[in-house]
Amino acid sequence: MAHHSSQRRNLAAPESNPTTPNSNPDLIQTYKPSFLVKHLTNLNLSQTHKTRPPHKHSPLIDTHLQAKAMATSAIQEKESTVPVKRTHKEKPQRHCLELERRKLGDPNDKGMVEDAKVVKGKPRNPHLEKHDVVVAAAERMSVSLAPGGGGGRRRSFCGTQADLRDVFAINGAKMVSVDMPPFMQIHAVDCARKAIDSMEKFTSKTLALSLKKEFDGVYGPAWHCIVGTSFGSFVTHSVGGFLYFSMDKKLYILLFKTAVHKAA
Amino acid sequence: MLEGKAVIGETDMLQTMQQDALNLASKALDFFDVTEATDIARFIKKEFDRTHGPGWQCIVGTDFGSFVTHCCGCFIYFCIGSLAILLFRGSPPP
Repeated sequence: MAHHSSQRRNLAAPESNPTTPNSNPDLIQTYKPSFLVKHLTNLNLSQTHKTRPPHKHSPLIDTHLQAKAMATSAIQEKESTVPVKRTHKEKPQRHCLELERRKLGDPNDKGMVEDAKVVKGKPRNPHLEKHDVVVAAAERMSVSLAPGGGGGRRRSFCGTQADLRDVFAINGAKMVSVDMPPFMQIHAVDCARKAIDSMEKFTSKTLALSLKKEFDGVYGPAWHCIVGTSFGSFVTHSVGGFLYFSMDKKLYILLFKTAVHKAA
Repeated sequence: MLEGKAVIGETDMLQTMQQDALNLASKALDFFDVTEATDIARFIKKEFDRTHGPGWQCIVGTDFGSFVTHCCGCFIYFCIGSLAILLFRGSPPP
């Protein structure tokens, strides 16, 4: 039996590309494995390794980079209402969810569009091409951004959809995909807003650190947090422990939980 | 490798598993475009779940920060071409 202790890592991707357009793609697939996983709270050998810090939030400059044989990726967007779920900690099952944040493609709010793939040889280091930035920005004019600082808001533990929408609107957040009780969603958004407002200089890494530590402390290990403007992911998470939302129209936050086994 | 040399930024993984990850990423970039980050992540995670046991998580992108908890010996973060790839096992196999 292998040693099952865990370690904590803090990472940031190098930022070699300009700010991405405001698109909101989402592709969700869910399946359940046949096995069950128990929740055990025992984490040993907790370490934090720091890597090179990112320099995020560069000014919004549109840089048009042409690439040969670059496929035009269409965005598949699926937007669902907020499910009010109550999950129990005993015998949780794990789901696989697929999330995506793409740079290219038309922000099509209607049905799903197939991706076009180019069979020709790929360039060595293809540059990313930004499309429809103006259109994307225009389409998001309806998203109202209230000034932050939701510290005075009462936390609602019997949250309804109206409460959720209020909290999200106040903090300028929009939920993309969720499998989490409403009160935890509100907690996540409030925590993210407080962390962003309290930073002198914003870094994705610091926000990820704040969110993960908060949720590890309140709801038990092990949570994982990814923050950025351009990333795709495919993860396996516990039931009732998944949240993917956007803030300030261009920042995306993925927060999910995995089961932890006691070290034998 | 069409996408150039991979650069490992941080790792806690056996050499053979590291090589598996790099090979898978290179293969994924042959199948998918760099803009299909989710498909690349799915491809790598599915293969690692199949060959090294379940519970892997994969993040692919050009701009993200992260803070995660992983099992010992199951973590790698590397850059290949313009993409950064984070692969780790969040929960040990049952």
